[in-house]
Amino acid sequence: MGRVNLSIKFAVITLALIVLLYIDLITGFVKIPFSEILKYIFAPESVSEDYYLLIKEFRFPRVIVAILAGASLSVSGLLMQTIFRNPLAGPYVLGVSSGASLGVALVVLGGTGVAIKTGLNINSHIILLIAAGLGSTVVLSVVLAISSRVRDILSVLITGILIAGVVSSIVNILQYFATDVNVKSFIVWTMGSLHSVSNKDISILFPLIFITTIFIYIFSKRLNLLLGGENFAISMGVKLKSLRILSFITVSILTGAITAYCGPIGFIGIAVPHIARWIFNTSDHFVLIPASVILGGVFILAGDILSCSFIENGILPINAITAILGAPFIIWIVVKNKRTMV
Amino acid sequence: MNELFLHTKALEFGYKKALTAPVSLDASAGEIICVIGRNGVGKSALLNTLSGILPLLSGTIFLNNSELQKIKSTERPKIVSFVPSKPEFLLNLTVYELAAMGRYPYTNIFDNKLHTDTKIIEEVLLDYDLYKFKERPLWSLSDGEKQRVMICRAVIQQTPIIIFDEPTAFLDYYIRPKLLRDLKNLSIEKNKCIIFSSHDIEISLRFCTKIWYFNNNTIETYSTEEFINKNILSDLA
Repeated sequence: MGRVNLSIKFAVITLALIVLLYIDLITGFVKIPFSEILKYIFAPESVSEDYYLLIKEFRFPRVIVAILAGASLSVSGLLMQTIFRNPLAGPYVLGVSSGASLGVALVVLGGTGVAIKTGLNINSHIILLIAAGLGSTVVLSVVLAISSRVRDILSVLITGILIAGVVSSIVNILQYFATDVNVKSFIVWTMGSLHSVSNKDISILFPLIFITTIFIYIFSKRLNLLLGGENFAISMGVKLKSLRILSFITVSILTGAITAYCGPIGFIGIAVPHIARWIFNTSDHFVLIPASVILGGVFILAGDILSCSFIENGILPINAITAILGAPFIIWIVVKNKRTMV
Repeated sequence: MNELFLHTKALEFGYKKALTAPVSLDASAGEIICVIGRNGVGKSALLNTLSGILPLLSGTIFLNNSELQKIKSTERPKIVSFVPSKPEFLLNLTVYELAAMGRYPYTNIFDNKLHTDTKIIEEVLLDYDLYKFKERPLWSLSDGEKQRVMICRAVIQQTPIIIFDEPTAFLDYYIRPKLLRDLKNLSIEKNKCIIFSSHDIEISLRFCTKIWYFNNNTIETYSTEEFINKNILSDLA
């Protein structure tokens, strides 16, 4: 009985994802007729050239990266909530996102001189990806080093918040000394966007995120045991230290990659795992990981559709939308569901 | 003579330095052992060390005649299971899901349960009268029922040794004897070795067969009758 129920729920959220994906494909500066999308899928040669180009080079990468971003941030949030056994943990709390921001800030704000000397294009996504990845890894290493000294999980969380504070101060100082143009392009990046990603970027992002997510899915059993407390998990044969390190690496890859390409996108990481727990009524990672992937996609696509629909000829920053949608939801969860938080 | 399940040789345990002098302890099938001592004396540290959670400082622990340090961490949960004092299980799991975790040491990486696994889970849930609750989330149960689900999980794990850290600490005074009776039945019917710590000395004495008593930097072993007859309790007061 339970299994049938599970399949129905997965079918419903997958359907929601597909519907939103279609809506997002036709939404934007130019409205694309729904029939053209169907034609693009089933008979690409019959689509008019303009639409073909628009769908292939802009819309398609946009929806794919949206789903990848939703999935990555949600899985990161889920992992952090489990590892820290804190319902309000997310990639932000531990400073992972700000670490990635620091990497990007160093490149965008401080890299002009280097770029002129070396001839590198500093706005190239690959360089941002590496910088963001390094940034989040540095922050996570610091948190890890501290967490191996203090066993207590709350202290680690507070450490993460403090490190995030230090990092954002460094970013402020960098902004102070940077040129106007660089500051502007950095600030635009911090607002988050799903619209500046190309097919070439996706050919890097997709395999990276896909493999990382599959990798952590294999650890579902161990993550489940962690829900029963650290001592219980160890008594069941979990190697706590390596599980923590693996989860941190996963989080820093997923969050770092998405942050580099789309800017820091908030609230998805905290909210979606709760929505998944609420819909599926379980804490089982075998269910929650795929559910977070799909629901993360659903919510970020919804956000993207909204961000394109509010003003006539413009696109609102996705970060603002996710915050407006996400924050009240988290408050609702906290008030309503105290006992079933993780 | 019952089969010796657990045996320590000059064991020193603690977080950084040893909490007692080297101790030698024995625990056999069918025994139910109560660990008694003042707060902070190291009861939890001892139980954590015996369950392999806390690395021992020196000496050896033999579980089922093999040395604890040489048992692979994935094999250890087939020999000893551990029940923490408060089921921290956060609480969206159903009774069945939690009970089924007892099969984790036996299932593959994706937790595909064989027919025998599901049969064991269902039988034990029926035994403990929890089968009717199997789809209920844990948070909807009383503290006593939650603790029973934790016991179920340990039974389903099918280990010869089960270690409980303060199983009665968070329970209503009136249901404590019921829980201890469950443990006693388990040791008798399934021939398991049960080790638990408690502050409820009087209730525990009614059910246990042996006492490990933390006293003056060492752990003394008494049979329950000895412990009562020597009137050791009066020293405690």
